[in-house]
Amino acid sequence: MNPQSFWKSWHFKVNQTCIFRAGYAEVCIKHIQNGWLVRSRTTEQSTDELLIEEIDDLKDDSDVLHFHTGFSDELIVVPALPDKAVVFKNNKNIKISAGESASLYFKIPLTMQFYFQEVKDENRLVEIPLHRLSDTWFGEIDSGEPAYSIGSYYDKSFSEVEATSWEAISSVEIINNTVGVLELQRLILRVEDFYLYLKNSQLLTSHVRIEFKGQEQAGSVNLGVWKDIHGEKPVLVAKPRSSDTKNLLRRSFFFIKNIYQN
Amino acid sequence: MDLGLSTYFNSETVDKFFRIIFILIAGVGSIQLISFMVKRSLRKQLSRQRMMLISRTIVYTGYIGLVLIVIRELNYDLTALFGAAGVVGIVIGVASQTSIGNIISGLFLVGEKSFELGDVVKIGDKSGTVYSIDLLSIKVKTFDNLLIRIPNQAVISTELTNITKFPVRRLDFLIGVAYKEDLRKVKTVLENVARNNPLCLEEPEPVIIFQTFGESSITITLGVWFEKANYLSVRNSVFIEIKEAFDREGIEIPFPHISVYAGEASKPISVKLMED
Repeated sequence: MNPQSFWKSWHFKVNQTCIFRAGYAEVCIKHIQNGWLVRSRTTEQSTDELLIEEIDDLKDDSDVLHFHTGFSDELIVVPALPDKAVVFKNNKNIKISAGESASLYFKIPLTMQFYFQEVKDENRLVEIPLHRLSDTWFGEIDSGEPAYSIGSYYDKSFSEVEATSWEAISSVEIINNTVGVLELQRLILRVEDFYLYLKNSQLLTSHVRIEFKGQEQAGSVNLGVWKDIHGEKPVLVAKPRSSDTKNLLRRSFFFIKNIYQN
Repeated sequence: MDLGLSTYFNSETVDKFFRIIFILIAGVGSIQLISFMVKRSLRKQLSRQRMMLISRTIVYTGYIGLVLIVIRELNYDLTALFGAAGVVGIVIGVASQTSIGNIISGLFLVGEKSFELGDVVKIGDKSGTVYSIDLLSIKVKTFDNLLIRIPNQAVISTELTNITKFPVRRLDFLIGVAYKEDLRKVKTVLENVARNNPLCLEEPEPVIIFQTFGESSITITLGVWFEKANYLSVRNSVFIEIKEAFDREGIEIPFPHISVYAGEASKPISVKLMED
């Protein structure tokens, strides 16, 4: 199904029930008098496409949530980026020489959010990740931050990326603004600050431009759009979860020390 | 009959009485107001423990000052009081060595910052959440909702473990496998268990250590890292997943047993049932 036909506003009749499937997530929603019944679950097998199916009924089991929301029959389905930063773990010895830059492309699984009437926190019925990423820790064990892991996979050009309809592509440009070689070990992408755009049926995050200024210094991170990828007028699909500024000064790289040795 | 009440109930004493009442009300109100304003303005900058200390310092200092003002108002000679304070101090000091020791220990504990309000600590065989840190003792609320009072001197002279000081922890699982098992396969199975559990952190990486050749089994440690808030979920889920994975792969977790042989390793002992 076309993303524009999935991520949109739906109008339900009373007692109408639909199943929304994407990735490893399945959400069944029934519109009842003055409210909604919602059942969400993760599946063993993933679906590459975005699927909607109307079914006869939703059995009111113990895992079904009841929402009493009033007269609204409008259900809004929106994609979102994960609620924590994601960490790329380099196992391919990526090195960037002094003064040089490198562009990397990552696939980031989305979450699916359901709202009634209007997209705001109080109206959220359910949110479910389309692929549960593994927890990880970025930084030292006594002072780092929690994050998700997106593993070691990346693409070197945008045209090579084969993302599913439930993944967003994140383009990252890393500039080594030091006199030494930057050996990329762990890279954190604070996706809670990213915008989500739609171009040609593909979801894209903000373009990330990271300037590395040295191990002991916080680098600068700029978020924006890149015409080569986002086009002239990208369609904004979702705003960032946090309301930080676009120009962020903070740590993006972590260099591993073996914690079992001093 | 003249009971001499006019000596005590005249306009001067009544006036003094109402003045003292006013001073007490205004004083108590001011102390509470100052304490509240300070707590409110510093709430975001300081930890709960520091806030509590500052608040108590303000309150105790305020009440001591208020008592001195009331004593002064009653026309008692404070210089004599301060003069006697030296002698009284020695007497009190001797009589309350333990209490003073606890107070001093409390100040050291606070300065050391080895734990704060809300931390989960283990002192000796007792563990729980730090409920309050007071002048003479700390109060710990156990997980079954008991309150334990531990004198500060006992805390400072005992080994204390702060379980929630750092944001991530490692949980070690001691697993025994039968001697006949392929240890490389066991290691792979355990690695997969840790990798497939989303609550086990990818980094720091889980660790597998072959510990000992035990009496009945080979002991292996699987250590997984997790965020401290997920302790119970991680412990239970990994435990279940290890058992399920071992059952699936046919890996035996032996119970304690002893093999008996009569000197030759491979021959079993023949058993005959003798009937009378």
